[in-house]
Amino acid sequence: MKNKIRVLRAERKWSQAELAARVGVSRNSINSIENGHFDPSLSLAFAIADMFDLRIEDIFEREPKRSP
Amino acid sequence: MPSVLGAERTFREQKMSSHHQSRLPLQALLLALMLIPPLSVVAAIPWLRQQPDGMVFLLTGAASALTIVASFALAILHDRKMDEWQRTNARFSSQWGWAAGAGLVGLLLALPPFRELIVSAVANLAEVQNPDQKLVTLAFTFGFMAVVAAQGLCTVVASIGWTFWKSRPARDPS
Repeated sequence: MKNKIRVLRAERKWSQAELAARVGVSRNSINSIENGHFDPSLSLAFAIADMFDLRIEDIFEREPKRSP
Repeated sequence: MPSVLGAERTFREQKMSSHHQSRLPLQALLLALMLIPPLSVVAAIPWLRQQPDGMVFLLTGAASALTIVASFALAILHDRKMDEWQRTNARFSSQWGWAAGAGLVGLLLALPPFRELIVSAVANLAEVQNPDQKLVTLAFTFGFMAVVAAQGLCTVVASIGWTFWKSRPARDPS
């Protein structure tokens, strides 16, 4: 799943650790989510969206399904 | 605005710090309860050899129970601190780690040096000269199979329990 967390974070000059502390997860979580290696749960996605004062769909974007 | 956010962060850090500090003595106690019983049993082997079987089973059983209860409590405390990324990591590593470890023991049992190592360890611990290699290897294999089978059975039971737990009706049907 693609996301704009890195850009949004940079706009606010927040480090990964700072965002992690704000939403109550580890820095590794934020790093993995940013790099697209880990999809957050719905509650974490809401927490991240709330932190940036945006909607989930403004931050996360579904990747197109691969054709079989 | 930054000062409000800074104050909020400081409050959160202080809260987390005091929360972690309050748990430390409990964790240290549980770690001690987990490690001391098996180490005591190993240290007391010369004394245990002179005791009747009933006493040996009672003491080793009590030591095992203490270790299991303490490790369960430690696991629960640790799990409460983890976020979803760490839980996914734990699930992945335990799932594949247990399977790889069980497979590795199975492979090692096929190697004569490993079997000889087990036999020599048993001979040293039990103070028996030239124990029956076939008997020791079979007993070890059956013990190992019992652990793997018990883990499989407990996994099925835990899975059924989790399914029932997560399939229960909503608290508020509205």
